[in-house]
Amino acid sequence: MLPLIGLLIGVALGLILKIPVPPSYAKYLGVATLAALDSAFGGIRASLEKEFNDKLFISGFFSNTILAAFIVYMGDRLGVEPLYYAAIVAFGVRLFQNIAVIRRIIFERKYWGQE
Amino acid sequence: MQFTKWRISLMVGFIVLGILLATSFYSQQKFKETGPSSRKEGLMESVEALEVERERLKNELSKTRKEVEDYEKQAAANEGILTSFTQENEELKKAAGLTYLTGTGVEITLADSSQLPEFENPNNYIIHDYDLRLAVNALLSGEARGIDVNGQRLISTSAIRCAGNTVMINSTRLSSPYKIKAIGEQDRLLKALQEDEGFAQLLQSYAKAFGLIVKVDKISELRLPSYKGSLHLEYAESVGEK
Repeated sequence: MLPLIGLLIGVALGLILKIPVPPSYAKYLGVATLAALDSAFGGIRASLEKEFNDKLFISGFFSNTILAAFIVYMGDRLGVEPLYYAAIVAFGVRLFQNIAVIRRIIFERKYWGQE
Repeated sequence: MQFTKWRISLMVGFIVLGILLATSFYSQQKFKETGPSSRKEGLMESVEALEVERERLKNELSKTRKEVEDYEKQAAANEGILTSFTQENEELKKAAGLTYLTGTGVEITLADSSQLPEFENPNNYIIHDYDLRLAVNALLSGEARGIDVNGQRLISTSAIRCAGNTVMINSTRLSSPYKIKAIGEQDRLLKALQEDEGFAQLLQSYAKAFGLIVKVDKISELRLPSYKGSLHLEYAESVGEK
């Protein structure tokens, strides 16, 4: 429940603040958002698996987000724009995996009883 | 203890995620609104609106000119002395292209080629502003008394110029096919057209090579409309008579 409330607070904050992002940075923001999404679902997964560690989660969350944007930036600087896809694919695949695991855990609890 | 602690950090993470999502969404929305495509649309709309506006003003102007003319005629009728001046005024107006003109003359039809070039320069297959200038200059050298291109009467300050894929005359956009009507002595006009090297080349070689439509017809009854645009000169000044 708490993560959902957090998400709503965040969205509200974002819509209220209306941080102006120049079009040239939109790509970095997009990849960073994807990385944050991945980390957030990773956090839910870990908490369902009862392996959640807050230091690991917070550090992972911010380092992944910043690294993702940095990779895109490096790609642009070095003229290797496909580096952008590397970040998207890596985080995209992990996102799907995390969601799959979360789904599995929820189903197991619901239909096959507590482990 | 452990339980609340991890939940709070998870919540912090989600708050940041929410901010990122909202910011991405918001800025993407803003790009769409202020992007180049919407700007282009706005410009096109204003161009169209301005063209309609100009058309309206032109009609108003010609109406007002007619009124002025009526007053002039009235004045002339009232005062006999002015009659000769008014007559001269009429003559000058006719020469300047401010009245409609009827008479015999020629009509030149210029149109883009219907062929679609696959490997060649497509510029060869369309009628350009300089083709129109060639024809008009040849007609002028044949002492045409009045020339009109697609309803645009040419006067001394008219320009024929390229505007993207259209041609602009009297700040009106025209497109193929172009019909150039000229009033004058037919034989003289035709001779001038034949003698003009540029036009002869256009008629004889380019038209055949690229499929451009170039046609010259004698017309016994032509009626040219009057010039309806502005006569105001911004930079040129009259030097007066010597």
